[in-house]
Amino acid sequence: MILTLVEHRNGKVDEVSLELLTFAKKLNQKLNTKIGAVIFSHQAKELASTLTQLSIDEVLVAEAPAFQAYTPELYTDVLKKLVQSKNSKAFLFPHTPLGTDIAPKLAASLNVGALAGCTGFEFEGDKPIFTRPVYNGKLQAKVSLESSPLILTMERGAFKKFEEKGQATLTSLPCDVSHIKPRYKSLGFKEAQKTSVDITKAKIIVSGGRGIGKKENFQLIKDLAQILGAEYAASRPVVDNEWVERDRQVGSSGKVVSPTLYIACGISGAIQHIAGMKKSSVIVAINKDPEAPIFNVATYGIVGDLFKVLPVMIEEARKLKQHG
Amino acid sequence: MKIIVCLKEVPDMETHFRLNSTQTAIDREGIVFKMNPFDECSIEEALKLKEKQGGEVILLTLGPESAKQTIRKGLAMGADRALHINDAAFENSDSLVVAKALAKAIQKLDADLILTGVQSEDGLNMQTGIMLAEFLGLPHASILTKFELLEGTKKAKVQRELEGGFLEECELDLPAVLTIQTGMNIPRYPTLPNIMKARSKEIKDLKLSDLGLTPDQVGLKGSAVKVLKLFVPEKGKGAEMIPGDEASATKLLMKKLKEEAKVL
Repeated sequence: MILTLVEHRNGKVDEVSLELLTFAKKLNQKLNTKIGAVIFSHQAKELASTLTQLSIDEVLVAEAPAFQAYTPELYTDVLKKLVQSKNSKAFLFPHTPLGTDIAPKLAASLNVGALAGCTGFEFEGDKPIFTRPVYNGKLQAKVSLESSPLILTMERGAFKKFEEKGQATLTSLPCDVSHIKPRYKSLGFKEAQKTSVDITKAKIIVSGGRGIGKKENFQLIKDLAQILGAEYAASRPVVDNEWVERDRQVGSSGKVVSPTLYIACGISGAIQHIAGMKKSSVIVAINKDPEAPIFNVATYGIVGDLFKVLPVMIEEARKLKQHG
Repeated sequence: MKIIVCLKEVPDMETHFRLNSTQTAIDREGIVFKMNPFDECSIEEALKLKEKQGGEVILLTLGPESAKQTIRKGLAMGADRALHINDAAFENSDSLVVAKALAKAIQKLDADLILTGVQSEDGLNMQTGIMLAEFLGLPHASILTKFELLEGTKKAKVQRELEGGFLEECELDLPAVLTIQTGMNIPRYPTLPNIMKARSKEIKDLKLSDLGLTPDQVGLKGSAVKVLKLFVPEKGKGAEMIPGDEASATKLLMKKLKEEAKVL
């Protein structure tokens, strides 16, 4: 069986779980086995019902009060037994804070290798060869995994959502975990600092990255934003250095934005940043490194020194404002 | 408190990468290496803890001889001593093998806390720290942005970074393995006196046999993950690159944004 882990929040199936099922279906063209989706929850009924309507074989439900929040030791115990009882050929996880936490633990507990952040694969004969980013996204690697079961995490958006209708069997998993005394306990969730700005609503965003160099230089980004009537934002390194407030961070761990115009200044374009802005209508990238991955998603690009570009942009924007 | 910090040497990501003849690895010739930024934050967190609690910060690296430079930087930041798994047999090892080797080196140290970066900028795996915890039989928490010892207990309260600006608070028993996210702190720069002091701090080399591992358990042979090929990502449609010096390119860009894309 090919197993996938279902990611969900607030009683809704996260679409990455459906993308994983497309991945599983494609992998199954050569593995010729069954496909099962695994749900952990304290209330799994409704979640399961959205998945049993799909053309997969089995929806496996681990339902217990203990699964209200993620606990690595408890999940691993259930999954390890499941992999062994189903003689599982592959276990696919989302490349999310849940998937990247549980997949390596499960792999190590089975003493097998694992792949992270896969964005696709192709068959060479019957063997899947996976593609994944390395070197901060500047290079890609084609890799094989020579241990069984295949354990991997898949990057969000790597495949289309699986929508083919069908009827899957619903199975309750044995989930007595009372013999384990977890050494990790979730205390609850909260949102990062919130202020009055919501950059996701902005029509134009001017965003600064590591190339800005130091806090004082960020003023140029703010100046351009102001004259364009835009919001300013930043990539992770800028926020990590406390040059800009965290609620202006664009990326998978910050805000996902899709303005009409996104101007990326000195941002190289790490995968997590691109995930947060690639749906913008028009993207401008200014970077001194011609190989920066940001140029792969940009509409217009300038290779150059942003301290020479930004003053001219500000001046030109001022002229536009005055003369229309 | 005895704190182990695992660190890795990575290339400067602004490098123009050339590939080796088989296209399975980058050509290391002429590349500038630095400390993985996630690991820099791990060292900073360890040093802050040591300043409060007392104890010892021990660095642990697996990598070639050139990684000594990165280790020295960690010592200059303030770590006490270092262990360097320095054996060519480990070349091309995957995360599982690296985690096993690190576990062997840590086992006898009786550590209270083990810190690793969330991931390395070159590998992007997010695996080693978590696998290490499993091999040591310890609990772990990943992608941390906050850490706090709960006084009078053998527990810590931590904050994990989730997606979309959400955070999770957790409590876990120590000893434990924690993977540290960038932004948890701002790593200190080594001061000149500390750079001098670091020169006399101990870096102990460990070989395969010191870890009780055999050649077929490590390296390419012992690893399940095989890199078949590296390549530069397809540009897709890619950007329309605007030629000329900065001033003329920028003027043309602004014209295009107004007249062609109609977004200004």
